[in-house]
Amino acid sequence: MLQFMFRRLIGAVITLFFIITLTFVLMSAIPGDPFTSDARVPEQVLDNLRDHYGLNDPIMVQYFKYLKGALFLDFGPSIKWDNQTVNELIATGFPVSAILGIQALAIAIFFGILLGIIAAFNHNKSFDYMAMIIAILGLSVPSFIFATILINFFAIKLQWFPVATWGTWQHSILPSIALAVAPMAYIARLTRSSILEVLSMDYIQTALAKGVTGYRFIIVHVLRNALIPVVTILGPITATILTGSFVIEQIFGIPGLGKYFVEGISDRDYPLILGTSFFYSAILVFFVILVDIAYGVIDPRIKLIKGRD
Amino acid sequence: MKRKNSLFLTLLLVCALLVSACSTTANTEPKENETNNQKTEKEQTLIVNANTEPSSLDPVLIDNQMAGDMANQLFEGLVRLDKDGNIEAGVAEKWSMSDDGLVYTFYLNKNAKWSNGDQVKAEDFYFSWERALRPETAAPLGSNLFFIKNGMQYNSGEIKDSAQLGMKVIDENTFEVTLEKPTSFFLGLTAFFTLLPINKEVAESKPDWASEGESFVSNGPFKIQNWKHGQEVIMEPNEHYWAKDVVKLKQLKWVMVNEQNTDYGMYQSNQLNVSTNLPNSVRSKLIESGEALTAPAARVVYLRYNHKNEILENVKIRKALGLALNRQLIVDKVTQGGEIPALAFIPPGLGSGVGEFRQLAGEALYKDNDIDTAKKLLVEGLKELGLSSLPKINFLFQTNDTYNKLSQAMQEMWKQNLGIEVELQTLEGKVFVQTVQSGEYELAIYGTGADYDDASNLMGQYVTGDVYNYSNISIPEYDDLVSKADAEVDLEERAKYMVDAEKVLIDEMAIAPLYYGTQVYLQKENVKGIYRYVIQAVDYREAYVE
Repeated sequence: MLQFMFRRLIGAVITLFFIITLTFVLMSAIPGDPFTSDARVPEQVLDNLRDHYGLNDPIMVQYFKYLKGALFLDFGPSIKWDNQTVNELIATGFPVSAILGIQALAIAIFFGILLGIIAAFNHNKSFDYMAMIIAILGLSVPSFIFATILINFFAIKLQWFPVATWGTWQHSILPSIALAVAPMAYIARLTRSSILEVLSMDYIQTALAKGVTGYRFIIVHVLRNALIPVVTILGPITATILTGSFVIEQIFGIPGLGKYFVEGISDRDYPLILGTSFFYSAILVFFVILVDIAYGVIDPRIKLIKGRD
Repeated sequence: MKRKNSLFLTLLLVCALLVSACSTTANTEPKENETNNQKTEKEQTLIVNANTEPSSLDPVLIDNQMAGDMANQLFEGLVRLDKDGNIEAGVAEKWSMSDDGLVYTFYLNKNAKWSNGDQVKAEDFYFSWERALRPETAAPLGSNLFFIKNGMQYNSGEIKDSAQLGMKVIDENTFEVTLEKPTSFFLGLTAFFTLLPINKEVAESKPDWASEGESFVSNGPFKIQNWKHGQEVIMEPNEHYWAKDVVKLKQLKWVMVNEQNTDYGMYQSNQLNVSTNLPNSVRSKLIESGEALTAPAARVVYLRYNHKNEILENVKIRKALGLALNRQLIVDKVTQGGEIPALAFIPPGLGSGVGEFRQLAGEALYKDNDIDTAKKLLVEGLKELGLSSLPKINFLFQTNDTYNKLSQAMQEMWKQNLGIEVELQTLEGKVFVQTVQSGEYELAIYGTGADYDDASNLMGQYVTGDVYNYSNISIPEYDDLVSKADAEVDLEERAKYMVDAEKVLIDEMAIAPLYYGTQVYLQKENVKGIYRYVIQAVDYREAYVE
């Protein structure tokens, strides 16, 4: 186990190094810089600004500065948000995104599995069709349309929830639901097909023949095996939720990290682009490792290191 | 045993996620009932939308109008504008100008105080303006201080000694400014956000005072009560403000919602009192019904020609393209934001030093949708170029809703009216700007707006060799008139030169103006006393809720 962790850690560091390098190369390749604008700003002012943020340095110097920043986890001041460092922006933005993401993930997992179970155990009956129609709608309707519908109905018509902004638990309900819909639909479909597959297995038939029924049958015999694929997609789903949260954060005016991640690019806020890309990549790599570990724990057939045991 | 464990772990994972979600929501619960309270308590709270976190609220570092709007509530300059846009006393209770128009002496109000109780001193202004001009500060709009003697040279580093700047602290309450040359609009400019003062003592003892609400010190009608980055800025009246009696609001809250439809939804459900970011889909309907109001914005959107292009170098071709557009149709059916068709260059509302520029120069310098003339000019132009028909022209624009529609409408008009084909190409904001700046385009949609209330602000960019002359325009007569206006001390004469310069620019159709921009906004009927200006930032000082 320790050896596995160590190997994955080395792998993660190499991955992050490539991501930083690639991000830096791509970022430098986009035309325009943070101070490109159609405002009439005199050349000398622009030059002062570029000097101030070290953009007049040779490109390799800038690159090593960023590498050093990544090494010490200090990405320097943001160019667009004058008074704040990238670290501060991440520190204030990420907890908000995390709350939103975790709530959405919880909703997605709970209702996704529930829908999947209902559908599978009512295979080819009306419940199954209903659940799958919901799932297909959830997958195919983009989250921003869903968010707009939620706002119009629950916030403007019924006035149960505030339209937007952040601060109280009421504020977080609609965006969490909007963000959860697509992954929920995905989980539901996966759970359904995976349960159906498990149900056709010999050992299930044996259990049924022995007269095992009820919740114990569903939980112990079916779900444990059916959920393995669901756990493995939690990593990618976390990715979907993290990167997908930008649109939702934008619509609901939520001060999360997604906004900085995306707006950093249109503002050409180089330190912010690098800081947020690094941060998101680190999280994703972490989740993938976590899922690998969970995978091995849940399914004893999977060995973390080949040739051992 | 092992199998049981693994099941247990799976369930634990799911439960942990659920529990963590619930616990985070539970933690924030006690704070609530805000939205309900806001509805019942109409106690002079105004909620407006800042769209995004301001890039900075330190006046000198501000580079956009919205942050300028916010700073304008927090700070007060030497002068301010009354509700009709006339200059009135701000921190300076009176001022005088020398006969040659070069030296201004400001006498500061002794009751003008910072929100920490300190008196606003002449030192503060000297410090703030010198800092704005210092090259290391890298003030984005620092050029607004280049009218001060040696300001430009100090900013470029040519002059290192700040004593050579045209600013002098006579005593605690007297501030003297010497200008490079007589500048009719300088007094009004002292109300602009780049020239707002900051507290010298605070800035020197705590360099990052402006980044958090707790340490923020300002001298205007409002001060910051709470600043949650990316979320909201809550302002409350500054109890030390010299004219605190005219401030009726108890709270001015800026939320940060950048999505137009959400903004409109919040306005509809009374979670916003004023909205300035209307969705395109409802804008024209709301203007028609009278619910949304419009105000001029000193901005003009125009068609840029690249004069280096051998076809567009021809004035007749440029005119043909410019005249064959139906601007009335464009503002009625395409932009639909209460814009005004532009039949000249300088937008209405901008001054000339002797009254509004457009009143001197006339409303229209050419006819809208003049297809007959356009057709004739096209034939003549082609003859001059020795071509039988016009090759396909590339038409560049920045990706946004309005310009997408606008460019298609223009493409259609050229095709119908002149039989000309243009190829549309859209680019992301900064890529577009960079492409135009490097001169790799033929036609492009562009907008330009004024920073200060004078037509000269917009004229310099078409002078031969000017760094903003991305159109490569070179009209000697125009250059001559602009430089004469620049040097002229007599305001009447100067205005005449500027009027003539605009005529030359339009006669040559160096650019083809399309429409003058407007500010479109929604404001609840019970909200009164908000003052909007053509150029100056909005003023909430005397706003109140009825």
